[in-house]
Amino acid sequence: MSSPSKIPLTEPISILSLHQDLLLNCLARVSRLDYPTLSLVCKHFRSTIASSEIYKTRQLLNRTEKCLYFCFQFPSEPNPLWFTLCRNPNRTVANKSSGYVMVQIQSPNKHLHPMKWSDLVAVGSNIYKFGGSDDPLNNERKRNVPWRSSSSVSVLDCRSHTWHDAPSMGMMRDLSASSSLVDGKIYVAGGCDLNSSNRIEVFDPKTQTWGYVTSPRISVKETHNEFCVKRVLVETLGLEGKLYLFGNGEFVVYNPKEDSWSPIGMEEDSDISCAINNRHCVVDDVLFYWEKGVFKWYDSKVRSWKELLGVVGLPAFKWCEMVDLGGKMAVWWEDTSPNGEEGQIWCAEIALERRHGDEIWGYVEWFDLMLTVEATCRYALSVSV
Amino acid sequence: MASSSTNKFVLKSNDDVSFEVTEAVAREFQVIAHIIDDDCAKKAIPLSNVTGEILSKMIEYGKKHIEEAPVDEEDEEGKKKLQIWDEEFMKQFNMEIVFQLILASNYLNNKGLLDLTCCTVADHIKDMTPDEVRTLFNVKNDYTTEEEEEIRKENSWAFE
Repeated sequence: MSSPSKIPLTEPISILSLHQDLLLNCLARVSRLDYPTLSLVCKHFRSTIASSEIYKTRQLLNRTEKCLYFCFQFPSEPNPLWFTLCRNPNRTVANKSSGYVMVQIQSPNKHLHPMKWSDLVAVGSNIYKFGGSDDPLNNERKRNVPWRSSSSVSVLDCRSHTWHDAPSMGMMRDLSASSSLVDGKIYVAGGCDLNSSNRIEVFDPKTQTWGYVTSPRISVKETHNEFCVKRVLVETLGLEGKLYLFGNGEFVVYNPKEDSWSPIGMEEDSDISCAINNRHCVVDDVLFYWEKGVFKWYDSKVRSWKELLGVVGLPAFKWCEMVDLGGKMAVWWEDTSPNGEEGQIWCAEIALERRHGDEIWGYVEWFDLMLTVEATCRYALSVSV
Repeated sequence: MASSSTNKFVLKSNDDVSFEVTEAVAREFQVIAHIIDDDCAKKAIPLSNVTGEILSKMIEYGKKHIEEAPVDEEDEEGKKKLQIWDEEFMKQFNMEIVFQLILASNYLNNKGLLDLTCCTVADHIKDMTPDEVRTLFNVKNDYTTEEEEEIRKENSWAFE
């Protein structure tokens, strides 16, 4: 055996010999999609990427990125399950797979129970859940009774994958509440008692405070809860710094800067409402929707819908959900397996490019079968982590 | 006082290699800039944590970034040119040298080079398996087979 003094100076340096600050500096620049791979490298990598420091560093270095989260409810599972999209650490170059997989989030928590119907909004690295019941004992019953009300707000921190409570809303709302993000603030409407006066609330995630927005005078759809109490049913949409509210055949738009509501006339923007009745998403302040196999986007300059050009190669699907993925569009849909017994969850990523100012082209970067499941899914969101 | 383009300083590595550089290049490294400001830079500046091999590369980087500095924030073309040079510059090094450059640019406090070298490490990780990452970065797998299996199993449904 050689003595320590004889160890040559050129012994290879391990990345672990770097000071922790420098290791963080390196690993924070790695895509979050590759974190499952990193966690398998060694224990120190695993604890480093699970630390809050790595996310602070990502923020400091301006390295946050949009990641996809999915919330699924399967018939055989009592609770909804959460997944995130990442690259498969076990992938092989040989097969034709996209290299992406859905990974289930390991964070058992009581707040996971009520997730299946309520409305969700992603802000920064958090997913907010508004209203609805969080009584897990009623889980079985709730499948058929999604109308319980509460004012509670739960937040999933997608850095640590833990849940915490945010300040409660002023009003009790059931799971039909609709929430939208406008200029970093969350507007929550509907899902409340028809007789209550202030129906729209606004939450500022920065200050963690609630306020009310004067409600517009429009007729709204009504529905009844299990106790035959009339509930307000509206849809909301945040676009170009404004909140669009869709009631019973009537549409209004709220301008937060002027704190004013204006009706949407027949001649202006009224056809935005066709997006609300279909799957839609907003990417870089452009509203997209999907109908009968075609993606369309709303050109607000000329106030008309245009087809998203160049989207080729995707399999046929009956419906799809769309999510903003930091300038790109993520699309997912459900299909049945060839034997018809199982559901398949597919996902695709579409890059968007504006051409000549008035055309938008979409390029399918990849699509792949993500999960084979029993059935029934609900939500997808993207967060910045 | 002489202008920073004519004023020269000598940087001396820990293996006694000396480099004469202009004040502007010397000031690319924050630590050296402080030494100059404190008027302690009369003679050669000894850098106890940097070898001659690494120091020569750092000076090459510093020189280039002085000579080809973008005119202003809007000089996209200038930025792009320098970025391409940076990429080419890093291609010549193995991971061993990259680590040494990280340590040295941290020690001498050059944010640009620290960013560049850390980015190089991160870029290498993309599309690698855990085993490839271990080999590249000289990391021992300290998981037992059972532990590794356990971590993979946490995501077994998704990874199958």
